[in-house]
Amino acid sequence: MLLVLGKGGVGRTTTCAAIAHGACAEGLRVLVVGLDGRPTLSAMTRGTDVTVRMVSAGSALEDYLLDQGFGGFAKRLASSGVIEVVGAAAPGIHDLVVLGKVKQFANEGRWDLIVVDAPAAGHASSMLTSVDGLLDIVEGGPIREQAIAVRDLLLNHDRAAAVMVTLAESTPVSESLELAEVTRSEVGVAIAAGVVSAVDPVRDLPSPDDIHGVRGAPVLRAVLERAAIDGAVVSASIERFQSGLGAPVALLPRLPVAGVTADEARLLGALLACGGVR
Amino acid sequence: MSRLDALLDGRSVVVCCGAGGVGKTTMSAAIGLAAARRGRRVVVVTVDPAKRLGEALGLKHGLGSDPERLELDGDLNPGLNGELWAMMLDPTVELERVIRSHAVRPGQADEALANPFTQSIGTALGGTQEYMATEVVHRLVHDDRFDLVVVDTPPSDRAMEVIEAPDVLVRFLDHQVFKLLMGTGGRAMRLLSAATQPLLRAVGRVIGTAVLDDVVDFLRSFTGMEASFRERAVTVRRLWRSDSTAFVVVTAPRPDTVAESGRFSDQLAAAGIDTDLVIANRCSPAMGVEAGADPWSPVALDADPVDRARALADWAARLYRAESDALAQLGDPLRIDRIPGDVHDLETLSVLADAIGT
Repeated sequence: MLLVLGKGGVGRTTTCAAIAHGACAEGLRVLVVGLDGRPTLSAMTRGTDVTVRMVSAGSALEDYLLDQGFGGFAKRLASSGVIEVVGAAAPGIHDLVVLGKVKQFANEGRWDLIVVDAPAAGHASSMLTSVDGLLDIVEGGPIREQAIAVRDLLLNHDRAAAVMVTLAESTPVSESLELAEVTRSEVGVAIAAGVVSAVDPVRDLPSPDDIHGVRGAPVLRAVLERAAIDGAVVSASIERFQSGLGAPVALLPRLPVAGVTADEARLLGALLACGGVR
Repeated sequence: MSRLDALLDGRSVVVCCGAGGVGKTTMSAAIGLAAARRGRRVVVVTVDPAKRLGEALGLKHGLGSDPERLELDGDLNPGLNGELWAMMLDPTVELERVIRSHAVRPGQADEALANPFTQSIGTALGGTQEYMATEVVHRLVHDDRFDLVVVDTPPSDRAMEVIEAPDVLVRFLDHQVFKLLMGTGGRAMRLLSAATQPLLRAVGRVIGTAVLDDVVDFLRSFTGMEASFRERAVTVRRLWRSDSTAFVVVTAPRPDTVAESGRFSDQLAAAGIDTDLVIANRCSPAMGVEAGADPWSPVALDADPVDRARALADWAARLYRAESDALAQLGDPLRIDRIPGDVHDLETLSVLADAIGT
């Protein structure tokens, strides 16, 4: 199981799709689990062998109640609003049942790889610490058993690891490194790799001085000058991420297209499979 | 009158929402700064657990859970005659503050704070942030030092939870299970063994009777405070929908983010809230180059410098076109070009305040 972690907007979902396509091309049976209910994941895997499942807190709690032998009572509980009360009284329970659902997929044995598209930074760590938080306050009963089972899976370095995603910008790199530290030290989940997504083609460019005597030279020079400013930030950010993460880092390019489709995600997956771009 | 002037006119609260990674926090700070330049006494409060606001404001020591006044440079901020304050919501501190200031009998606050549930609720468990956001907004709106509160929310889904927290709390306080728990004498175990209430037994089976015990103790330690909790929640619920509150949706020009921003505005509308302004942050600048019509393909790194420069210009033009097409779905957003590098101090923040104010 790979937990793909990163703040919103850093390309976490695209990275999930790329990993899934890359693994699928190697012949693995791959499941991607989306936790934020957004349709992009399905669009990036449509018409391929990658399976996608969406898990929401409400549906996971209902499933959990069914598994606990509540039967039709689960429905009644849901409709009576008790679930809302339970969630309001013990907020970490939602996080736990979501992770519990993922654990269930992992134990089914139908997939070789489960890729989890985990929510944004600050909350991803609260989601993971919720398990420990619940263990502190719950002394017995089904919730405690569930929390222990989820923790055992997350902390098993042979079965579960995290992939940290960032953009090649200063703040996202800092946040991703902070999140990696929390994930590794406080939660105890192993870090398998890092991915810098949407890398602009602004590094190792020719000098503006090399552009002369051609049509549109002033515009081309302006484009190169602007790219050089961006390129410095991109290079510095990538270097800082590589030296700070303590795990291999792959780079994925930004594609100048309106929305990543399944074809493009497959291309990114193939790139990832051979180590990403330079 | 600029679009920002129209936004601020007659407003005492501006709520900044949007998808993750769009620069919401930086934009909240820039709106705060732009308002301070217009003579407003502004406090920017971040509800997002990320520590971005302190960085955007150039604070080396980070932000505290009490409003701190920022020193603004008159040269960078022409005509400045307002004030800019900032703070970060700390759910643990806020929960303690709320309990201490609303306890109805001596010793109640200490009892409530000693409960193991209270102790872990502020730190380990998600969800508390949202309830405490209601409390902090209520407190700041009634603080005479300020005439404008800028709220920086967590990313989309969580923002909706912040906005709906007062409704959830009111529903919770009005719920039969809550009333049952509060209204019956004795500890939960006794209550459960005697309970003929299948609903309550079910709750006990789900979360375990020991937890239910703690929950009951936790809730009971608040006895007598429910009315004031409810009252503040109702005030904030009303405040979100009043004319004196403006909602700003910050978006990035990326297609999936634009789609998410559109869905978020729909969610706001469903909750009875209008989006007053959409700001498209960090747009690619127009470089005056036409994008190619054929499918895009990368260029080799060892190609001729001129070919590489042309390929880069074409790439930038394609990006600009993809962004413009996407943004058209949000009507007419206020478009702000990406500032090269990172916004990390008040100087770069003032550049952004210039851009949104014109």
